[in-house]
Formats: sequence, structure tokens, C-alpha cells
Amino acid sequence: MPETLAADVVRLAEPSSHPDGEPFRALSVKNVQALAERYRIPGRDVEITALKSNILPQRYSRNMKAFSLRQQAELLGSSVTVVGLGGLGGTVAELLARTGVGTLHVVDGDRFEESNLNRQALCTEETLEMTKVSAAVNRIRAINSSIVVSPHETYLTEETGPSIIGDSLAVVDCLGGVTERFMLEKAAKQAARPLISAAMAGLSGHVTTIFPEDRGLELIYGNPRDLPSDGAEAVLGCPPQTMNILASCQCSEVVKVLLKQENVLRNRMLALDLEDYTFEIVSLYP
Amino acid sequence: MTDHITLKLFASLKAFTPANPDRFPIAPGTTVGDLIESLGVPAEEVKLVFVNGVKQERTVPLKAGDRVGIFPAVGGG
Repeated sequence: MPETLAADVVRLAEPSSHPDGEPFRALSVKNVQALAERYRIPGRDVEITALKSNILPQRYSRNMKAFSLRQQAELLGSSVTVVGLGGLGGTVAELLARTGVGTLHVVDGDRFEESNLNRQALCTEETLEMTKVSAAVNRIRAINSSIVVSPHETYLTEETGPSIIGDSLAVVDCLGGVTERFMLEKAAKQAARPLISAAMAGLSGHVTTIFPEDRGLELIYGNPRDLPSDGAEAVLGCPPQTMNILASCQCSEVVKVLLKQENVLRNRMLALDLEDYTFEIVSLYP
Repeated sequence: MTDHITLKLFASLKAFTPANPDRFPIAPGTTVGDLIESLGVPAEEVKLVFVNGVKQERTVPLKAGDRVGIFPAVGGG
């Protein structure tokens, strides 16, 4: 069977070219979907097979040369868990789907309400009252049907965390509030997976990546026992421009972690403030 | 002789930004903790202080030209 799929991929590939004129062989969305149906496999697996034959699924053509074909295949073979599908998580889920991360676990027990409309990418007037998970599944499938989506309509807990995280190579902390994040950090550490965490209030925010052996959130927030459940966002709110830039930085970190690239914000934090355009990398160890 | 530092307060702590954050005078020997107190920032609201891009504890003394950033707990997502 695999030889047949590979042969079909080669047969259906079409000549195309990058904007700079460099030619490549492309596989269209329509053909990926047709092969996925014919072989009863996720589109992701069709795309990985194509990439191994140096055929680029057209939907990822503008990801080049940020990634090589091999790296695109690696991303398609990877699984990521997004915990929280509000302001950060909705955008993270969408960006990872467009990037072509092959398996997405999406976790949230909440439904949309009107106060989410200012910033949560998955919240529209039509999705009000819907569960955040079902909106995420619909959005990811609408953008990229090749991706395997695993919905978890629940709040992740320390107990359920490791089984939800499963074989994910990275966990994205898109929770709201402060104290819940420490629970998620514990779960990610138990699952021995890196956690990419971002948080904001008003025009300020920060993002960091925590590996299981790192001290992590306590370096940013101090002792969790001394923390209120909500941070400064209770007063300053959550405007969308701060949310989206942080979600974007989280996706950048996910890609670096999955591809084992350098310059991950490990034991470091990007602190930003859009009011005066402060962007500073902070080393979290003195 | 007075030393000067650069100050950046984030999120809810912005309200405590002095008039001259880019050239804020400090007495010699002023520590991070002294600075927080002199700004009137409630100590328990400060969760992270970084000096010249490195996290520091309250006991660390400041020197001329230091860039100090102060973050409260933020959890919005």
C-alpha cells in the first residue's frame, strides 16, 4: 500500500514555482483530500509521503524557506496539546493548523460568552454559547483538513493532564488566570513535556518555555501560595493586540521546540509592552 | 553625587512610574528592595524584577546606568 500511495502522490504532483521563480512539484489540497479518502488515512500522512518524495503540498508553499521540506514533514508528524482555547489558545490553534502541525489536542471545558468577542479568535457572534472545543475543531478542520484534531471538552487537571497530553511533543499554556498555570506546569512536568506559557494584562505580557527539569513559573510569579487567582488583567483587561502577539510568540516557540532549534526562550522570558514598544529578553537565573 | 537608572514598570505597576523613568536618581547603595519601596509600589505586588535583562533579588544593590524592569502577576489568556 505505501508504495502505491507514494506512486499516486508522484502521479498527481503538478509543476509550480515559488515567488522568486524557483520551481517545485506541488500537491493540491484537492488531491491530498482525494488520496486521504482513497487510502483511508489522515491527509497529514498523505502530505508526509509527498514531502518525502520532494513534493510540497501547495498549502505549505509559503512556509518555505522558514522550514525545509524535511522540517515541514517533521511538523506534520508532531503532536501538540493546546490547553485553553480563549484569547491565546484560539489564535495558537489556528496558527498551528496553518503551520501544519499534524496532530492538535485542544482542551477547554468552557463555552463562549459575549465578553470573549474582543479577543478570542474562535469567538464570533455565531459561536456564542458554543463550546470552545467545538469551535476550535470546526476552525481547524476548515483551515486544514489534513490535521488530526483530538477534542477534550474538559478542564485539564493534574490527574487527567498526562493522559490528555499523551504523545504530544509540546504543551501550550493558554490558560487564563494565574494559579491554574501552576497546575498545568505540574501536569506537563509529569508528562515530561515542555510547556510554552504566555500571560498578559493590558498592553503588557510575557512568554517563556519551560522544560520538565526547569524551575519554570515560580521564577516569574514567585511562590504560588502568595498569588491571587487572577493577576493584573482583572483590572487592566485583555485587549486583542497584546493577546495575538503573545500567541504568535508561543507558536514560534512551539516550532523551535518541535524542530529542536536554537534560541528557545528556555530559562528566559520575553517581556513586552505595546504602550512604548518595550521588548526585552529577561534571563530568569541571576 | 547622584546615580541615575532607567525604570520600566509593567501592567498594573505602570501607575507607579515616576516623572523621570529614563533618568531616575538613586542614592548610592540603593537596593532593588529600596527602589520598590521608594516608588511606593506595594512589595507583595512585585513578582519579578530584572536588572539589565537578568532577574534579581530585592537585596541586590543598583548602580549608575542600570536598567530596571518590574512585573506584577499577569495571568490574562
